[in-house]
This record gives sequence, structure tokens and C-alpha cells, in this order.
Amino acid sequence: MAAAALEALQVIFSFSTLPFLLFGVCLGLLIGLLPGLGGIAGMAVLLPFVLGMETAPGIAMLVGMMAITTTSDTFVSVLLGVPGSNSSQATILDGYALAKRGEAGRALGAAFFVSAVGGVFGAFVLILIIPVARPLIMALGSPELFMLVLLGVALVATLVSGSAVAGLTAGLFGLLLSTVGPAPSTAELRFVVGTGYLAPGISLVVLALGLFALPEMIDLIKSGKPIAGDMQSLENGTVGDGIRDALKNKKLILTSSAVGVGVGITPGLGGSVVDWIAYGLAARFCKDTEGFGKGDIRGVIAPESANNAKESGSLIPTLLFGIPGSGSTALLLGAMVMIGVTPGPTLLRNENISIVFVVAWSLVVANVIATSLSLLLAKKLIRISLISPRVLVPFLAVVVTLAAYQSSRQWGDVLGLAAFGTLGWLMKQAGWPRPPLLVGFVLGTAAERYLGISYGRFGLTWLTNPVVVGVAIFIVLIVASGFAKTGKKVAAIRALEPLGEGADDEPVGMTSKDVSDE
Amino acid sequence: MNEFIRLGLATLIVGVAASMYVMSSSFSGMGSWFPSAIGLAATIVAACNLIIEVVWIRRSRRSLVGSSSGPAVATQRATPKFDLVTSSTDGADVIQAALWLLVILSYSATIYLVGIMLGSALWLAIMLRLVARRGWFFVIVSVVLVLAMLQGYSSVLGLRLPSSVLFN
Repeated sequence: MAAAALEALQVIFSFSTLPFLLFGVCLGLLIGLLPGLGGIAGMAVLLPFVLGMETAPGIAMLVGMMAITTTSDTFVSVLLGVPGSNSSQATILDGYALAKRGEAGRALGAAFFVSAVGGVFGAFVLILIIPVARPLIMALGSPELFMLVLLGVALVATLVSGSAVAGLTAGLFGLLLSTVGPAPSTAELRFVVGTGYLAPGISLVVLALGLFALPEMIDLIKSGKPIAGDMQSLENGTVGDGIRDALKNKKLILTSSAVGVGVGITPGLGGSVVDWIAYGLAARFCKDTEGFGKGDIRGVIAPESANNAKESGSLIPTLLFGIPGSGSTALLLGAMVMIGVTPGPTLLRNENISIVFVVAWSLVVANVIATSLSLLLAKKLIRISLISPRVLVPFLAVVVTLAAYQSSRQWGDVLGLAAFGTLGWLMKQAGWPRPPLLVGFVLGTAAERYLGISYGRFGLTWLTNPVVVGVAIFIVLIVASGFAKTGKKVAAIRALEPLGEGADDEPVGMTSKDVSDE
Repeated sequence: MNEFIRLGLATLIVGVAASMYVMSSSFSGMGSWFPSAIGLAATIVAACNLIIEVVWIRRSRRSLVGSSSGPAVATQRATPKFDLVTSSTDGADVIQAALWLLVILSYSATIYLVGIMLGSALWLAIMLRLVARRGWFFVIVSVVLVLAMLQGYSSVLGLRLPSSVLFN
């Protein structure tokens, strides 16, 4: 096994492979910079080129591209408050808040450093997990997965938001929106209101761009001030500060990376939730979480560690069982077949094991190169946060509209962007948290699918499964603690009112913006 | 104004959730279970949220009226930021934001009418010249760069650009 690993490393650094890996990395960086586009778009671009390529260069190029979109997408998330891709939505909460304080460099430095650590961590897990992967994946049945999905929604609804009621409303509304389109079990079209556009369901890209990008653009242009506000200098937090911050949070990086790998391994959960889960856990278990949502560097470290590690995790079921863990790995699977590699248990045979190592080393090298390039670019690109919004927003409008249009290439995408943009703006004005809506939407399809499978296989007996019961109790406790937290804040404000001490407090029970999504 | 937005949004969510719950009963078999269950739960929680909003707003108004004869500082302190005291300012803010939303969305309308290249060029030029108040040199260079980027992405990455109703 060690010999195969060494041989794969030599292959990666050979002249026949390294240029293709670099090409994949550069393309991944470029695609990550475009809001709304992620690994799937990159894979779709590269797919025609891999036909007829040698195995190692082809795999290195594909894996290099796929692993890196989650690194460069941080630029737009932090600097513009626009989701760079599905995996960098949670980064906006604290990354953009830091940029507004003139600390974009710090946010980017931390994000890129932990992205590399997460990616490399995931690659080593990929190597180490090979002997134990099968029982691990098989241990999770559809009932457990269904409960985990509900847990994800409950965590984000009660943790990211300052108000449990508003958070739960948003989360449930997101789940409800996910039911638009074909039913997983019967393929019956639901809530399509007679339009063909809604037949495949609502596009995640359109929803995410509408909820997050448009409201930020409106506030930015209305304020007339650059993202970094009145800051004339961006030296409040440098890239080096960000790296130092990351080094102070080693435990958080490792925990979030492990979460990323875990989510990546689980087929169907995908990259759209990994950042929220990591963020939610950090907001729950870190000390002094009052600053989360207002520019806490840990709110950048957690999701960025997780989303790069997730790419490695999603390769585990793809390579070892031929089960793609996400949309981009589904395309990778197809591409590997095109170049003569059949993913599945046969890859673990001695004659094929070097391919797994080529993938793992590609991840390591790609992450290191991408991080170095991103750190070099960061110093220049953070100056975006000093540009006048009256200049910046028109360009953003063009990019965001086109990114939304790429979703299904219909005008309905643009209408959807306008509709969800208005909803997002209203939610922001009302102080409602937007992340739970997005997470509910992302997890809704998986929840319904797992529920259907659970009922089909076990009837109602799955409800007595000890893991299901345990997770259900945990969910109830989380929701109850969320309500209790809200109640305490309301009671505190009421207690202060007669003394007139509530001057600077908003009605936290319903509309708090303190730990919501702004 | 902000309280109207909160009430309006809460009402909208209750309405949409309730409508989807009712509609879900028309779906067959397992296809109706999940939307029915979630629709019902969403309607109940959203209704609770709406009630809380109404109670809070009534309470804050009472607090405002009740304290009108008391010390000014107490009135101000007991009043949430969004209440009637600041409604005129908030109202202007909201209208201003709504206008900017329309301005941003006008880009979509422009490219829908005249196409992506011409529409982007026109809209960007107008925005940069009239809103950002930049010089012609900056405007022209910016427009050319954006058009080059659009063309590049379209040909290299294979991104499909929207078609227009007038010139296509």
C-alpha cells in the first residue's frame, strides 16, 4: 500500500500529470469566483476534454478542479456578501460582516488557510478510511438519515436565528418550498401552478442568490458607502491575522473538517448543507458565541474547513461504492468511466489501488496550490471592499442575473431571482433569519425521500429504532432550548422596560437581528 | 413602516403555507404526506409567529401611548426601534430600498427586451454615468470589459446567454 502511495505521488508530480492538475486548479479558481457556479459547472466544462485522456492526468485535472471551487468561492462570499457557491453560504454571515469592518483580509486569510487544512485532512481520511468505510456507510439506514436531516434543520433554525419561532417558521417554509416539483416516490408534479418552469422544482441557485445577494446589493447601494464602510484602510485585519486566528482554533478546524468529511460520505446530503451544519455546531458548542453573525472569525473557520473536507468525503462513496455523494461527484463518476476507470469495490484491488492514491494526492496538491494562489490574490482583491457601491452594484447585478439564468436557462430563473430577492429583502427588513429557509429547502428533498424509503421498508416500526428515538429527543431538546432562549430575552426586556433600560434592545423575541443572518 | 413589513411578511407566510397545505390534499398517495405534514406544521408555527408579532406591535404602541406623558427618556427607551416614532424615517428608507430593487431588476427587463449584449451595455452605461457619476472613459472601458467577459464565458465555459424578445 505504501509503495502504491509513493508511486501515485511520483505520477502526480510528473510532467505528464502536473500541468493538467494545475489547469484544473486554475479553472476551479475561476469558476469559484462566479457566484452561483460550483463544481458541477466546472465538471460539465471539463467533461468533453477528458475523453481519450490518460487515467492519471484526467483524474488529476477533474479532482483538482472539483476540490478548489470551494476555496475560491470564498472571495465573493466575503467581499460581496453573495454566495459564491452552494457550499459557501454560511461563510457570508461572519465573513461579510468582517469585510464591513474592514477586516476582509483577516476573513480571507483564515478561510483559505483552513480550506487547505480541511482539504488535506479530507484527503488523508480518504486514505485511512478505506478499510473501514463499508461498515460505516452501511450503518446509516434511511430512518437514521431522515432524522439527521431533521436535526440539521432544527439546529440551524434555532441556533443561527435569535428567535426560535421565526427560525422554525423559516425552516418549515423552506421544507415546504422543497416540495414544489416532482414527488420523490410517485413523480407526481406538485405546486407547479400550471407552469413547466416549476416542474423540476425550485432552483437552489436562484433561491440562494435571491435570498442573499439581492438584499445585500440593495442595502449596499442604498447606503452609498463601500462594503468596508468608512474605513479608509483595510489594515484592521490582515491575511496574516486570519492565519493566526485559524491557528488559535485548531480544535474547531479539526472538528469542522471531520463534520465535512462525515457529511460528504453520506450520499444525498451534499455540499449545500455542510457549511450550515458546521456553522450551527460551532455556534452551539464554541465559547462566547455572542459575536456569531456579527463578524466572529470562528463563523468563517467552521464552514470553510468543512466545505473543503466535504469534497474529499464525497469521494469515498463515489470511489469505493460507485455511489456519488453529490452532483459534482456524479459527473466525476461519469468522467472516470469515460477514461476507463470503473469506480466501485474493484478499485480497492492491488492493481487499482494506485488510482485511489492519485485521487488523494491530487486533493492534497490541489488544495495547497489553490490556497497559495488565493492568498496571493487576496491582498489585491480585498480592495473591492473599498469600491463605491454605485459602481460595484451594477456589475454585481449583471453577474448575479447571469448566474441565476444558468440554473435552467429560462427567464423563469430571472423572475424567480426577483421574487426570492424581494422575499429575502422583506425577511431582512423584518429581522427574520434567512439561513433556516435555505437549509430547510436544501434538506427537504432528502428528508422526503428518506421518509418514503423508511415507510416503504419498515412501515411505522422505524419510529421505535433507538437511534431515531435518540435523535428525536435531541431535536426536541434543541427546539425547546431555542424557545427558552427566546423567552428569556423577552422576559429580560420586559423586566428592564419600567426602568427604561431597553433602549438599545430590539424585541429579541421576534425580530432580533443580533444573531440572525445579518 | 417596518411593523407593516413584519406583519405583511408573517401574514404572507401563513397564507402561502396554508394554501400549500390545502393543495397538498389533492395529491395522491405518498406524494401528499410530506407536504401535508410540513404544510400543517408550517401553518401552525407561522400563525403563532403572526400572533406574537401582533401582540408585540400592540404592546409597543400601548407602551408609546402610555408613556407619552412620562419622561421622554423612558418613552424612548421602552420603544422598539421600528415603532411609530421612527416610522416616517423607516418609511422613506423602505421606499428608497424598493426603488433600488426596481432599478436592479430593470437590468433583467432591459436584457429581456434588447438582448444580453446590447442590454448590458446600455444598462451599465446608464448606471455608471448617471448613478455612479463616472466619466465617459471609465464607462466605456467598463462596458467593453464586461462585454468581453460575457463573450469569453459564453464561448469558453459554454454558458448560455439569455435571448431577447426584440432582437433574436
